[in-house]
Amino acid sequence: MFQHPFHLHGKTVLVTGASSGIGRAIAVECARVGARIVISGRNQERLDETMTMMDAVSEGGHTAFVADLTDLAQLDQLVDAVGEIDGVVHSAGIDGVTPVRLLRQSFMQSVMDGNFMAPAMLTQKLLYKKSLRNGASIVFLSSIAAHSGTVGVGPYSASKGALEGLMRCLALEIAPRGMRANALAPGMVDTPLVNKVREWLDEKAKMYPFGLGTPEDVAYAAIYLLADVSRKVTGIHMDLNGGIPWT
Amino acid sequence: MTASPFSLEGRHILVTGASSGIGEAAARLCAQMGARVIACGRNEERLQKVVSGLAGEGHQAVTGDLTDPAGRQAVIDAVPALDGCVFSAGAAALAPARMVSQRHLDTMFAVNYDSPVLLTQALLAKRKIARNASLVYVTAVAEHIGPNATGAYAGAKAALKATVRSIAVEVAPQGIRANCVSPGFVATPMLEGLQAVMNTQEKTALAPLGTIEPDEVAAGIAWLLAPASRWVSRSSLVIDGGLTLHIP
Repeated sequence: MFQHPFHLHGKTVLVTGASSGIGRAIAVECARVGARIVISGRNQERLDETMTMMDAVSEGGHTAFVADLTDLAQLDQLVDAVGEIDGVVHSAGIDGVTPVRLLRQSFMQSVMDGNFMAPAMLTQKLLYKKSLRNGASIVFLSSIAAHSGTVGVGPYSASKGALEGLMRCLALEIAPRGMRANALAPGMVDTPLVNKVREWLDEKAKMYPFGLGTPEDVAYAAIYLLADVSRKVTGIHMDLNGGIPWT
Repeated sequence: MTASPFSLEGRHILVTGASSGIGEAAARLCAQMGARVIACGRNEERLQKVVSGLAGEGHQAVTGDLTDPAGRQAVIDAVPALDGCVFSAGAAALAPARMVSQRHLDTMFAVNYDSPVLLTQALLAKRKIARNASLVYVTAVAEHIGPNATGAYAGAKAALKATVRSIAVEVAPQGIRANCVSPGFVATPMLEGLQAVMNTQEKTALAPLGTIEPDEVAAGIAWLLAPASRWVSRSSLVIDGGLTLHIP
C-alpha cells in the first residue's frame, strides 16, 4: 500500500504559539497527518482547546506546556519537559506596528524579544540539550514583511528579517547532522493577530489574487517542511502569499 | 472525512520530460498520489517503459519533441482539460562566454524557455487548463549562481522564472496557479551527461546536504500541484540542499 509522502508518522513535533491562529492550525494539521505533538502557549484554557482539537483528529498522546518564551527560566523548563523531538515550529509571535519617528526603544525591544529572541534562544537550548534528533526539521515563522516594506511595520519587519538571517547560518551549522532550518514567509493570514478590524482586513484581502491566507494554508506548508520528503530543503524562506503581484 | 489536501486523486496532470530524471520521478509520484498522468517525452521506448510502470490506471504517453510546433500540437490534441502541468523537459550544455555561438543560445533557449512558454500559450489558448489548475515549471539554481560556462542555460532558466511570474498574474483570475521549482545539482541523466566537461561529483559535494535525488524534487513538485498549496502562486521553491546558502 502506497503511503503518500506528506505525513509525519513516527515524529514528535514541538509547536509554539499553539493556543491560537497559525500555531493552533499547525498543531492540529500535524497531528492529523500522524505526528505526536508537544504544544506550548501562554494561555492554559486555549491550549486545552487546541489539545481537544488535536485529539479529535488523531490517536492522541499529545502534551501541552504553558510557557512565556520571552522568560529564559520558562524556556529552560520547556526544553527539559519536551524531551527528544524530530521537529519544531516556532509559530509564537507578536505584532509590532509603529512608525519609526515614534518608535520607543522599549517597544522595539519587546518586538525583538517576542519575534526574534524567543525562537532564537529556544533553538539554542534545543540544540545544546541535544533535544533535536538527527534529521530534525526546524521551521521558523517569518513573514512577507521580511521581504517588503509597509509603512509603519518597521519593528515587525526587522524582527522577521533578523530571524531569517539567523536561520540561514543555522542551516549550515546543523547540516552535518542532516538537520534543516527553513522559514515560512506568509502574507496576510486571517488570524486573531490581524483580524480585529474586519473592514481593514477585507481591504487588505483585495491585494491578494487568491484572497487572504488561512491558518491551514500555512500548516500544509509546515507539514511539507517537517516531512522527510523535504530532506534536501534547507535555508530557504518559502513564500506563501496568494500570488501577490508586487513581491 | 474530507479529501486530503495532499491528494491528487482524479486529477489530470501533464508531465513533460517524463522519460527520465525529475520528470520521470514526478510522473511516478503523481500517479501514486492518484493522478492520471499524461507523460510526454522524446524517447518512445523509455517513455512507454515509464508509463507502463505507473501506479493506477488511465495514464497516457505522448511521444514528441516540444521544441517542434508539431510536437506541441500533438500534446494539445491528446490532453483533456488539465488540473496540473509539470514542465520538466530541459537540457543543459556548457559553453564559456568566449565560445558561445548563436546556435548554442538558440538550442538552450529553445528547450529550456521557448518550449515551456509556447506550450503554456497553446494550452491556455485552447482552454486545456482547468480552473484551479497548478502549473509547475522546473528551473535550476543556476539561475541564481551561474556556475562556470552555464551562461546560456542559466539565462534561459532565469528568463523562464521571470516569465512564470508574469503568467501567474495573468492566470490568477481563473484560479490557476503558476510556480517554479528550482533544484540544485540533482542525480539525473542530464547531470551525468555533463561529466565529460565538468566534475559533477565536485559540484554535488558543494551542497551541505549532499546529492539531491529526483524523488526529492518530485515531492516539491507534488506539493505545489496539490490543493495543500492553494495559496501559493508566483513563487519559486528552492530545493538545493543548502547549496546557495554560502554563495555570496
